[in-house]
Amino acid sequence: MHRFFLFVFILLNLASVPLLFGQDSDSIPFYEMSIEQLMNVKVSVTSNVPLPSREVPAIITVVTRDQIINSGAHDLMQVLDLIPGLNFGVDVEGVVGLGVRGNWGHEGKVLLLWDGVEMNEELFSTLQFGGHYPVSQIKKIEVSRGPGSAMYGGNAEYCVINIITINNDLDGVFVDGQYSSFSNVVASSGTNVCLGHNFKNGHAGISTYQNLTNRSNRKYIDNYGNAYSLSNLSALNSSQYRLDFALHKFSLIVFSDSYKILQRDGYDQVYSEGYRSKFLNCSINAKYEFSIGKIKFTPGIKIKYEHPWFYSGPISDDGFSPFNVKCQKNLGYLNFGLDVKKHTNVTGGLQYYQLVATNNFDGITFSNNLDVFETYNYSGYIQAITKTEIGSFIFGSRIVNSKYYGFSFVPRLGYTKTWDNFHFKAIYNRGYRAPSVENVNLNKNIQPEYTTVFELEGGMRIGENSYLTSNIYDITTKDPIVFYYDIINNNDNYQNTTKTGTRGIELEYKLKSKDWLTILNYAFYTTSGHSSVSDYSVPSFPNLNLAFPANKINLLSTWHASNYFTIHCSATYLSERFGKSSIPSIHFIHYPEAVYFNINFSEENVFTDGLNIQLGCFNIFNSDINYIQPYSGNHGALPGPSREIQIRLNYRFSKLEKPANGR
Amino acid sequence: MKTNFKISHYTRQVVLILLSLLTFQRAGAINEANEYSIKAMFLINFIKYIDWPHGTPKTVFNIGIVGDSEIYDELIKIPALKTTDSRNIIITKITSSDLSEQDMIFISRSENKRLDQVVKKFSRKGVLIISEDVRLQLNQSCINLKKVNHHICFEINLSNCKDNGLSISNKLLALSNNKNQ
Repeated sequence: MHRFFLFVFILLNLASVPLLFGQDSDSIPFYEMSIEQLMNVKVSVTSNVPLPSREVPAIITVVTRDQIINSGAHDLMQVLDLIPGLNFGVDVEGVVGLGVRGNWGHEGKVLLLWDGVEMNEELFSTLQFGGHYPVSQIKKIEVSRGPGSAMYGGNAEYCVINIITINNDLDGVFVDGQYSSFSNVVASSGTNVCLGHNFKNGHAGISTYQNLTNRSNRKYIDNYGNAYSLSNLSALNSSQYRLDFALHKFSLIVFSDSYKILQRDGYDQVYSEGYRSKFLNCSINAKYEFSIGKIKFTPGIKIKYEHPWFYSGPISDDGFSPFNVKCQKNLGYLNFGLDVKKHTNVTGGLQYYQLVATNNFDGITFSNNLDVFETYNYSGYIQAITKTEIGSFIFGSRIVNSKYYGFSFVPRLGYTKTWDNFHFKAIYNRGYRAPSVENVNLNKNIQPEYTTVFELEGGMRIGENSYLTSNIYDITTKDPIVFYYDIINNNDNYQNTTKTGTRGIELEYKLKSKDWLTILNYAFYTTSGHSSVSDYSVPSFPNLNLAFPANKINLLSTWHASNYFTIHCSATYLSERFGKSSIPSIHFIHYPEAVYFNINFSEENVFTDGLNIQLGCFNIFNSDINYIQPYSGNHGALPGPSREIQIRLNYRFSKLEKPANGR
Repeated sequence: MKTNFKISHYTRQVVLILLSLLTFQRAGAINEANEYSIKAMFLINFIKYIDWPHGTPKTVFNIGIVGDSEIYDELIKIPALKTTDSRNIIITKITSSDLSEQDMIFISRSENKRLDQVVKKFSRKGVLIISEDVRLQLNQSCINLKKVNHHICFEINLSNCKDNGLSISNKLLALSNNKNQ
């Protein structure tokens, strides 16, 4: 593997050498462009036209780089926690996943794209949060709550988190180092180095990221009363290496993401010692754009090698078993986009992938009695957006054929209308999730699940500088694939149950003045009106699902106290929550309301231009942050970070002059 | 950790073929963006190259948007809007009947039918009037933005600028599409 990367790296450098000399530098990032550079930027004409968020046919929250940097966040969880409708819960073996609008979305329901690289592992389709992903590289996060299956295919059933980083266009150097501490142990320590160079027709870049995070320094207590301190037994090691290359209309990302979790919490009962699981994702994404007449085509490939949930030790006395399954996904696609008329845009595409999982543990096979499990999937999608005087209409759909489940069809319909001070959206969306490799391996009869979502959003400008947005939604998942753990027989499996879902409301108020930016958001969900899956429900509170609070409020405020000094504060309120125990004497565990406060101070251009220093305190009042299991797995709540003090230094050198509007 | 994945012969071939494409590329734009995000950045950049008539020193720089335009959403997205002399830039939506004090107005395409009417209200008041997609020589705006071959460019009506008391730098003139002025 190393040799392979070396090979690619050498090739990239060789390819770029002739271009590094004798050519002017084209300047990006966008907000720092001069007029000359802007004149070279092409107006986008395809489906991916970045419509203003008021017109986007989705319930979308955008987090900018400024917001992330000002918050001092060192962990993606800290950023996503402030978005309405998103909450975290614990799965097993120290892995923390995401819930969306009161629904557990950990396995195959939330798609995370990192500059187009799919971060979901392919065996169980999960994401792993906590000390993972280099937040300081992020330029923008777009969180689209609601299915994205029509555009993105599987894994996008409840939510799409689309992350765009600075690596695509950094022209210079960015270095970031942070250190934070709980009262008795390191909380997080990380370094991040990005180098990039823009030349006349393209870009080359390289970046590395190393981080060590301890999940918590509090005690984990299982439902039997066994306990251990997470201070030295919750290490999360993350590293990322990446190469970027773009030339004219060709772009390439070579990417490696490694994540290790040290855990003792197991499935339900505390283990006698810590075990380390590893996740590896190596990806190559390449695409090329060209036009024939008015039609723009983008063919591309995405190749992914994975080694998730990897543990190679012997079967322990605790029953912790080795897991050694590698996975390779080869995906090819051809997208197109065109403006049919001045106000009508059509995009679409074809996609095919082959997925091969190989069990490398002697004596263990898949349910097909082979060491190899293979599947394929091909799909086509199309979406049309037409702007008329009475509003914009969106029609989209995806048709999918997979090896084991035949054809699926998911439509997407939307209507948006903007006025000077108001906007309105109505969206009907269908999402699907095909069972993952291990879903099928554990239960040959498992079937795909489908989700239908209705959403209405309205927004109004209040005064000159503030905007209020509100949405209501209804989510119904039919035949949900539910994971369960049987503590008596000590086995786990998946099953399709009948229906589950939630409905609710989300509000966001933004106030922007000369030096202030304040955002207040509120999310509410209820299971009322939906049949509930017993593995997710809380009988004494029939309108709640396990783990997720019915009410969540976030308040974020950034004050630019001077040209160079910024103070960022945030507060999060969660209403009461419930966990479940399989022990009859406990049954349900009540977690009271909780409030967390964070503050971060940033001083820019200290000693020299581009050198910034930050001092922050997260969870100021040392509240108990808990990640509760959202299903009947008999796992106790995994503690989150306690009070954490952080110091951070970062330096950005860019060849660009400071922009007219820059600070 | 074992990382000795077997890369199939086929995969290796695909990578090599894609890499080999690199040597056959030609010049072109390196990036793309939404039309109005580009136009928004043009507006902010113009401030650097234009001198406004002297008057009472102002603490803010006002940009008014006439008509319903995506440019407003793009302008308010730009972080920490300030001029080079550290004045805050205030973006406001205004109507054609609104005569509030502005330093720059952008008249959206939707208002082109009423362009003359709008321009009259702001002319000779030290306001930089920017239009889009009009024939500049036949109207009274100062700068016109237009899309040519998928790129945004601009033309300057120097006479209108002078009438409004605005002084345009030679560099901006050189970059404009009307080099004959």
